[in-house]
Amino acid sequence: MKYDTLLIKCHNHLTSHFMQELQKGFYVLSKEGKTIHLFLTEDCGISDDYISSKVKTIFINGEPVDDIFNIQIKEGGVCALSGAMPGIVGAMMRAGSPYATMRKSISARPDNTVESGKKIILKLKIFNTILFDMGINFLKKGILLKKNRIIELFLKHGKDIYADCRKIILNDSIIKKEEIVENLQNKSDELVLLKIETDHEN
Amino acid sequence: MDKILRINMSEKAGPTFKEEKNEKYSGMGGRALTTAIIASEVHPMAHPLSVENKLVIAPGLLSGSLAAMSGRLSIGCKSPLTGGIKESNSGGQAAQVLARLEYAAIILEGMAPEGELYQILINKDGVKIEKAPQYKMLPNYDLIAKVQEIHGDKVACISIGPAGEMKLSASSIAITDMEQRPTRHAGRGGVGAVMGSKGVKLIILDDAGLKNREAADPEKFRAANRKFVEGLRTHAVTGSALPAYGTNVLVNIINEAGGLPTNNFQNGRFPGVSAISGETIADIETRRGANPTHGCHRGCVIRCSGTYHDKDGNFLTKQPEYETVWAHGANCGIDDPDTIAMLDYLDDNYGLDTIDMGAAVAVAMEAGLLKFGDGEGAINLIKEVGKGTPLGKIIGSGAAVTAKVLGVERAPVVKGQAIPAYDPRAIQGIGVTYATSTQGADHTAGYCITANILKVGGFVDPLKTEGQVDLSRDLQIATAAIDSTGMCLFIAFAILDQPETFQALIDMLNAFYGLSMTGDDVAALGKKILTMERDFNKKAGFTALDDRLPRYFYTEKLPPHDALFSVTDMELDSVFNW
Repeated sequence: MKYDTLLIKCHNHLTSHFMQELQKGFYVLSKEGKTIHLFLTEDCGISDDYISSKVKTIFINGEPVDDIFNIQIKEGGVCALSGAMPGIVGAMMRAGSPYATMRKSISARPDNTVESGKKIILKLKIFNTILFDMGINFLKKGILLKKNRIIELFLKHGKDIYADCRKIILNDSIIKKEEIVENLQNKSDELVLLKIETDHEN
Repeated sequence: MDKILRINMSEKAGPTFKEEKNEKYSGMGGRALTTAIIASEVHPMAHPLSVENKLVIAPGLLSGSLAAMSGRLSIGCKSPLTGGIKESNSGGQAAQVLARLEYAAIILEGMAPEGELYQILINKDGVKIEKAPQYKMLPNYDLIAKVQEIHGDKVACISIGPAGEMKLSASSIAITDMEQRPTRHAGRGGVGAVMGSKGVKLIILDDAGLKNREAADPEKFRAANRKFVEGLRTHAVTGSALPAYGTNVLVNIINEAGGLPTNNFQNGRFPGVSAISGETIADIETRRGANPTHGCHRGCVIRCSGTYHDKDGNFLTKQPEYETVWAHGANCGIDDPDTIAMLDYLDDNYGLDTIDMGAAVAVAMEAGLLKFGDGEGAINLIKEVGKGTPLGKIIGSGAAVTAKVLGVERAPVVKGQAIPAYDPRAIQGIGVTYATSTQGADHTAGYCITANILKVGGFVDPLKTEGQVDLSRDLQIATAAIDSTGMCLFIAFAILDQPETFQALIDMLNAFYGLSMTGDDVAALGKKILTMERDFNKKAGFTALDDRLPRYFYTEKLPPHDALFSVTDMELDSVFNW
């Protein structure tokens, strides 16, 4: 899969502008038919320990998941991760909740997806405590976004981002901050790997 | 805490009061007490704004003590919004102070002559009731600023804004927080209108010179409280998610579940959700020098409330709750946190329920008065309520009235009260509670649990499919009981998962009152409260047909799951079979 790579070197507090993108969702490369568990551990790099202790609420295509070892992923899917949530509805949404029956009409069920091994992309959304714990790491490793999303982000928050970023590198070439939108518009690939490097990593 | 203060507002020579020993309702607190008084002293057919109705203000059983999280204040009456019995509760400082003053309840009776307005001052020296024409139509923030000039910043206040004075059905009663701001509200059911009908603008509570209430067995009580606090601090929700993001942390996941009512319940997902999420708003608060982690009363260890600053870094309002962010945000198609915060401030200032206001504005949007997403229009509409214009009075009367007047079919209400922030088509279990609650549509009516913790009502096996009706029943029973302790309902998250934390709560109650209650006793209390409430509502004219969701929830599919509410009437009618 082809994509451009955009590296932004910035001050720490600038990352907050990109946290909304992690909530909206970014793409992760995977293979059709993998279980959610393998997708999270192998493709997203999340440890088993972290999943069992912190990831209390999981959705696939908007359906709350109770069994990550049996629900499989397929092309175009959306997976969302959250910590333990408040409220009775928050409790209902948790994986394996005693109150799962109260949302049974929307719960995810195994559907015998064929484990074809075909390359697919899945959208991953991370929320609340997961966002706090893992957001920076995802940004550091790079998140795949549609080019238009990044252009939209710069059109909306460009001033703030330019003020706080020190260097912008597009496919190994340093570019002027104010020319980033134009540069991206001229690229033919639909996807961009956005990487954020903050002060203390340099 | 063995006294009841009765204030009769009807006397010709001016209001009078008497203190009586609490014998008839001994051992009750919070919702149990407000319900028992209303059920036995108010005629079920009384008009809610008439001389016959009463307004009961009661702290919980553990309020005024060192018990953590014991700052909820229950306010009960016959509701002008639902026409049934109402208990609306709130955080803030008042419950703690009222309990230290040794009052189990204040009961406002009768009504002052039309146009007269009073304030009530209660301190260790007694009760003083004075005319307060100078406060007429003052919004809550302006009112409390004047109180501060006269009485200092240590007193706790219970007040109504212009909406309560105008006796609007969606008006709230404000309770001041630790910073003496009127940010906490008994929001639901139009309790502010009942206080307004009595002619009472303000109750000032001063506990200067008074100490915390002492437990019968102080040592056991302290040990149980320590264990209780430890349980809250180590739990993932009460110790981490809520302090970091507040209740608004729910926005993202309810949206993901397709259950976030959007554009007046026309969709279950809001495209602008990440701009108004708890994560984003907490980030804005931090960048502007506000505080996302803050308690609403002394003794709170969860600290889920926060403060929200405007773009210039000045305090604007409290951190908007999930319900507010949904009601004024997604439900109105508004994705600007500053607009939502302004609407929250206006609701608090005029004394309005944010849920019914958000629902009413969304109904007005669907009617074409303004467009979905029009933040400035929404602000102007709420300002109309504060001014008391004819349109403002319609909006301030809640979503049901607004829909009738504007000819909108999609009125998201049960028993006249707006449905909160979870669409019952996507999340059917909560729909059972919305439909059958004695309070009208209320997400907090079935919040806490009995099964698995109390081991009553049956143990729920997570691997088996239990009935949604059974769970809703258990939840409503336990919540009614917890509402009587004065404990914040958010303790439910820790006691849901940690039986030892629930046991610590029981131990606290036992050590405080020298009792030996068990989980069964707590469940029995919950059932007793619900039975009294159901009986009152029945005598007020409610039937099984009132325990239904609006018809469109059964016929109009909700995207993205294309879900319909499918719990049968027979199942709904069995909720209170015990």
